[in-house]
Amino acid sequence: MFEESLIGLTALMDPAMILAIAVGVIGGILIGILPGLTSTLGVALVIPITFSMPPQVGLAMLGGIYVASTYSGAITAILLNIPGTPAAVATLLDGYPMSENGEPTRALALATFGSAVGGLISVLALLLLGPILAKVSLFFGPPEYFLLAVFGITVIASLSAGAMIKGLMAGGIGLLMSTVGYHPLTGSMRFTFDIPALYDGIPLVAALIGFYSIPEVIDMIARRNDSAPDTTKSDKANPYAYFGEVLRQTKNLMRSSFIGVLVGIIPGVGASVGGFVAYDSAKRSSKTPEQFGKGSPEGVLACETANNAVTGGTLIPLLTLGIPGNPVTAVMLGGLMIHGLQPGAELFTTNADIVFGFIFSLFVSNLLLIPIGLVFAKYCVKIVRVPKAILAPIILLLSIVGTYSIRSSFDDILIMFVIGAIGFFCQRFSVPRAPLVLGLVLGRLAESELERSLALVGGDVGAFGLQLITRPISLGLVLLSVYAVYQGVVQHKRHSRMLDNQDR
Amino acid sequence: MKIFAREDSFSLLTLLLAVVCVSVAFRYPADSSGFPRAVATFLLLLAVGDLVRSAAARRGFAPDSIDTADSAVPSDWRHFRAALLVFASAPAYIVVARLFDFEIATFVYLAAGMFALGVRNSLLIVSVSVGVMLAVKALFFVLLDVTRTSTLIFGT
Repeated sequence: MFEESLIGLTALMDPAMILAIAVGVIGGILIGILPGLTSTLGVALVIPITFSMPPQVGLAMLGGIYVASTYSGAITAILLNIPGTPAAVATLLDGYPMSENGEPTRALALATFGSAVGGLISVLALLLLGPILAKVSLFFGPPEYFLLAVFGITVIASLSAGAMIKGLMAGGIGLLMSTVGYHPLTGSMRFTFDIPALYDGIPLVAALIGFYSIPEVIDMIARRNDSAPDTTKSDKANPYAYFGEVLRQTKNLMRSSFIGVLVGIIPGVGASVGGFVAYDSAKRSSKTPEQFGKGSPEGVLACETANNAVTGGTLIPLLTLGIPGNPVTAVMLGGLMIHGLQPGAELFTTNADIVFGFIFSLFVSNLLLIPIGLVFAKYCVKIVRVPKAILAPIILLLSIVGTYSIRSSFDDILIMFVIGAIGFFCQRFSVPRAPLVLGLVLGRLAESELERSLALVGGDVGAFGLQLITRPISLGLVLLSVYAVYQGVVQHKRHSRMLDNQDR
Repeated sequence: MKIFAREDSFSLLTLLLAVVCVSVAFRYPADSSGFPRAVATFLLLLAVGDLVRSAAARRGFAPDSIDTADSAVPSDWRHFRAALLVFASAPAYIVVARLFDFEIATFVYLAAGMFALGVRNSLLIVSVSVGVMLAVKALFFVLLDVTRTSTLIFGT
């Protein structure tokens, strides 16, 4: 393998490779910043362009877009409380409060360094552990996937500390929203009310744009005349000054990277879930968990490290087994095939130069994230100084056009506004929004895998329950879920008691 | 008291939603609605439980069990006015875009939006509107080749 890796490394000597990676990273950052444009869309749009390029160069560009667009959703999440991509939803929990506290540069620097480190570690995992880890995912059947979704949903308990019942209600509403559209097995329509735009379910990206951008724009408009002091002056101008802080959080970096890689390997889970699980884990092991949700640097670092670590993780089953773990890798699979490459063991032998060249190009993409990402972030910080009366209509317009661009549908714009209204009510009633998003993201996976599991045992609920505790991986996931709920309840009680003490 | 009212309002809205969803979900075939039935029932029980708990707390039986996170958000009338403006603007944009085209709708939307929010510098309004309109056109409709729908006045 060592010799094949060296062949891949030599591919990086080609200036066209470096140029392709740089173009991919810049394009990916732009895609991530704009609400509505996802990594999947970016990769899909570039595939036809790469067709005329040599395979290594084309794949390097696609990899650059994937890595950079996953990272750059954090920029708008931190500065505007609007996740540029679904991967950045967890980032805004602490990223935006940091920005509000006058530390946007610090938050962006942590996100950038975290993303780069998470990405690099995940590429290392892809290089070294790929074939071994991919085998584990073969043991995952429908019950395990169902429990994996349940485990993700249990994170709601922790995300709603201090408002657990409201959080559970929000999570329930999110799960209900995920059931809109056709049934995963029978194809029957539910809650569509004969509206064709809802047949495929609520479009996730439109929902996320509406849920986060509309309440934010309303708040901007309502407070446009408030004179807020420019707290960003206390922020260090040089983002590289925060590199030391990142290095001091080695445990957080390693744990979040590990979570990201693991979540990435398991198909169907996605970067947003990786971010949430790492955030939750960082909160549980933090010495200052009360800071989470109020601008905790640990929180920003954890979710950004994890969601970029997911990128390398998703490529492990893709390259070794041909299983795309998420929509982006499904599109990338098409990209591989267009270049005449067939995923599997042969890819690592017959086309070793191409596949190792691609893997090493991901190293370079993650390294380039730091200078390119920080340059972009530096100029994006100025956004917060634009008067709200100008910024609000522009964000609203970008949200509308971004939503339209997904399926060229005016109905999606209306769906986006309806979800925006729900988000607005959540904001007014102080209901945590993250549980609702988690319910929406994981609900479909949970339902489809539950139905598949039940179908496998002929609809016998007892037999299904027995499966959950007799299959080793299932049992492990059940125990993890129970522990997550227990921890969430403990945190909720601790949070409530703390507030009671403050009142006295 | 105001906090209790706010807590109850959300639980009441959730209860209403759950009742509607339960009644709709139970009308679908059982093999296609097990999951929504279970979730809607869970939501209904949760909302009822929360309302009961809140009522008990109001009588002083369970004072320490009220959710406490950020309960005292100021309820500003200006937020509702802003929401009204935002939600009314969506159909307006769609109507102009379907009648004319995206460029005109974008320009009018931005200019009217900034004016409505108090910007009175005409040069600033025009330059920002034109600049953003060109950027949106270049990015979405030229570079990304997003499909346009035919408009009633200009056609395709």
